[in-house]
Amino acid sequence: MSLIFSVDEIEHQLRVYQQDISPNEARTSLFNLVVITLEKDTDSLTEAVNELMGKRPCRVIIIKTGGMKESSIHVSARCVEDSEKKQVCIQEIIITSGIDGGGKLPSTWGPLLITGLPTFLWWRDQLPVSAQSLLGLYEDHVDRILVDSRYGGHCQDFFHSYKSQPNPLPLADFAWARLHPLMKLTAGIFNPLELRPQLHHLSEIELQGGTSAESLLYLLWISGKMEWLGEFSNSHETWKGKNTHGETVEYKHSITGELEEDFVIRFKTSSGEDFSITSKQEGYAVCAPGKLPSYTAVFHIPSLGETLIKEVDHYGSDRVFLESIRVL
Amino acid sequence: MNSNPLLDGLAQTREPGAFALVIFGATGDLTKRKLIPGLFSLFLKGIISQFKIIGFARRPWTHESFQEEGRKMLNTSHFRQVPQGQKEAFIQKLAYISSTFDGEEGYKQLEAACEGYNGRIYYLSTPPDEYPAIIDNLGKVGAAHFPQGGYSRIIVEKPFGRDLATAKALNAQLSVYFSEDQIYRIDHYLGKETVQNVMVLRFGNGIFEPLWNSQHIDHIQITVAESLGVGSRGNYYEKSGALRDMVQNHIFQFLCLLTMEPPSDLSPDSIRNEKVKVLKSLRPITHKEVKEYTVRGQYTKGYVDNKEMPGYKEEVGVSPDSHTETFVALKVFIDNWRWAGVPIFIRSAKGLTRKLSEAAIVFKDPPHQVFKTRPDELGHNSLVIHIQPEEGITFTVNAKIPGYTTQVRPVNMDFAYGNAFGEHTPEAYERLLLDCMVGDSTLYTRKDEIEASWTYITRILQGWQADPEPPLTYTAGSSGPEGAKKLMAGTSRKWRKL
Repeated sequence: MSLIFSVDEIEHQLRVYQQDISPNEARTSLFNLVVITLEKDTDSLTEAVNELMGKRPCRVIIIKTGGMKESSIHVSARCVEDSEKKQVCIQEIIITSGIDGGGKLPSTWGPLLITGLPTFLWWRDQLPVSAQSLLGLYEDHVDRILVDSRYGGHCQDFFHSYKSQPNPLPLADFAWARLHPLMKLTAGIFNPLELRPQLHHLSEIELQGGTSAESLLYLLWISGKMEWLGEFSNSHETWKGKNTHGETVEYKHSITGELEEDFVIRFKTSSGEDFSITSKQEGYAVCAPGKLPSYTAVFHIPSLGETLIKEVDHYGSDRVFLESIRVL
Repeated sequence: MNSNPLLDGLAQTREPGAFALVIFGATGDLTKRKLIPGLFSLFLKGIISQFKIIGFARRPWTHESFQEEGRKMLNTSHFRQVPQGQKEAFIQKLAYISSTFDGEEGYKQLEAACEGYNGRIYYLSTPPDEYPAIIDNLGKVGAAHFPQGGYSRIIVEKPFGRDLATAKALNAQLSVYFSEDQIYRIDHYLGKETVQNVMVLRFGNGIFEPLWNSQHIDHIQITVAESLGVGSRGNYYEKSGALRDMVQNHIFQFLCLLTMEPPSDLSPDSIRNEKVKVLKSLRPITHKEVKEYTVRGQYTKGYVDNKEMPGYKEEVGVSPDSHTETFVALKVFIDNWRWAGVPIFIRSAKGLTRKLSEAAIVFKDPPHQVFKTRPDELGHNSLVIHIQPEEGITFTVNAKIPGYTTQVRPVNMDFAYGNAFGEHTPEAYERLLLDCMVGDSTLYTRKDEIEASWTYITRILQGWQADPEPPLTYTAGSSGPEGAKKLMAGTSRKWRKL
């Protein structure tokens, strides 16, 4: 990498910028966030980082890759004053990595981390086949890796290799976080005592909406929890397995749009009873729990920024996420 | 086959299931300000979905008018961004029964309205005089029994009695129909994040607990100050006073969390067992000692926030020769191994200079002072837990002032909840309602806690009753009566500035 910079100079600039915009006292930074992102994919990143403003004082180091220009570095600080007239600041260092892509290497950004604070690495690119190729590179420098399997790549292979690592770095997946509202609605619709037995006799599930990655994670979750065993068809569009009673369970997914826009989940039991969860406009869903009356339930797919805030508050992996990918 | 493995490990594992929540006194202010907004927040977060809220009150409202009132309750700045569809989905879950509290008919309607909901929660949000009739009628229609696999719970708002005898009577009446695990005595202070954080601070960090005892702590001060007077609540306050209104419940609960031993686990009973031990270890203040260990005061006309405030005796509903205290200060001791000899100063009042709630743990000075700083310039180390106006923690340490001399001054290390995490913390009622829905009574008060605290408070009340002298006076907008300083007389301790 041809980019040469002085850490002292950057620290000095950050201090000056922050002093300019927040002459009053500023809140102490809570963590470092290193973001490795494709240069062309920074709009949603900016939105997400903006969500941290005024909520989590931190240092964000963004490494933009895939650029064809010369490497460059840009430093800024943004602050929002809180009710106690103290500043909650984000110090931002943006490194645009040149053609050689060396900016991804920890040796480039490592010296810019605030020492002694937890460091999160947000990988905004496709998942590689091997988890070790990602984790191995960063495990000495970061405390947790955030990925988003919606970028695609080799999700199944990645998760498969992740689960075989001894003591891997804690991992979070934004796609998983987005599924939580669906999981809650699914768990809720079968929760009335009289309906719980039906859960153990599900024979068909169809998810309309969401990405392939979200569908995969949803299936891994429900099949893991219900202890179903099965496999994907060659086309990966359907999955067939057996429940603990030896009955056949079939799972289908069709991509109709983003979860925020529209989704339907239909369930059928071996006795022919139908359940469904249908999203409606304005953030609520209609749940039709078999023979019981339908009810409305709020659902909200968390934005990227909301998920980011949640993830930087945790240092470990979500237990259920780990259990789910172990199903693979 | 009756399990729901899908619930395991979800962020919100505490699934309340289908329930009907009945609010007795639904036309009151609490419903408008706290209960409906709290329930709506839970709904918005997707935590509750299969439920019905039934307002039960005298006013001749209908389902439709209650729903219309509900719309107004959600029409606040806090919910401005919420899509109308989500608001309507919630509003459709509101129903109303117009009935007196002592007539059977309303309760029969209520049973019918709850049909189909296995969980039942009855929230007593009426004036306490109505509690006996409601409890009896609920008992008679079998509301305390619940369908198999469901539950029936009753939430009782404060005041829970006005002395030991009335608290015991209310407990006794409740226990005729409801078992202790069905009774939820609410104290919204326990729902506040900072109050809950006391346990995390003490037992989740290794550095504080070794110092949390009489060897290292000089004294503790708990202050709950309000700038407002009694306003339109004169009638209620006349029968209550600061000791009953704040100390018996909120402050004693806070005191318990600050001073209890570590519980063996976080189960409701483990925590409440430890709290009861504190309450039972409080050194009683006898009739003869009330003047030595307590100070009561009453505000007179003054200025608060640049506005003239009438004296307490000039407020509507207040007797001109009232002895009701609007200020109370106590010097309390906990007679156990950990706290032997550590005074705990409690102060609560209306009509003070500002609204402020905090607990300050003031540590002892170093055994030998090597810095040649004037003693009054060297601050005591203190850990202040702020509840209002901002929730947070301040640790005061001494530091060197930059320069050629070794001059020392106290500096603060601040942690403000809202700003370190920068997020809206859930309203106390929101948290407490959810706890009740999922059957977690940790943050509710148990029968023996109530009775232990009333045992202590009733002695003081009796001592005051026997004292013909009126309370001391203080000007509204001041820091309270001068006489409160006598509790710290003979020491270098001072009340913290408001």
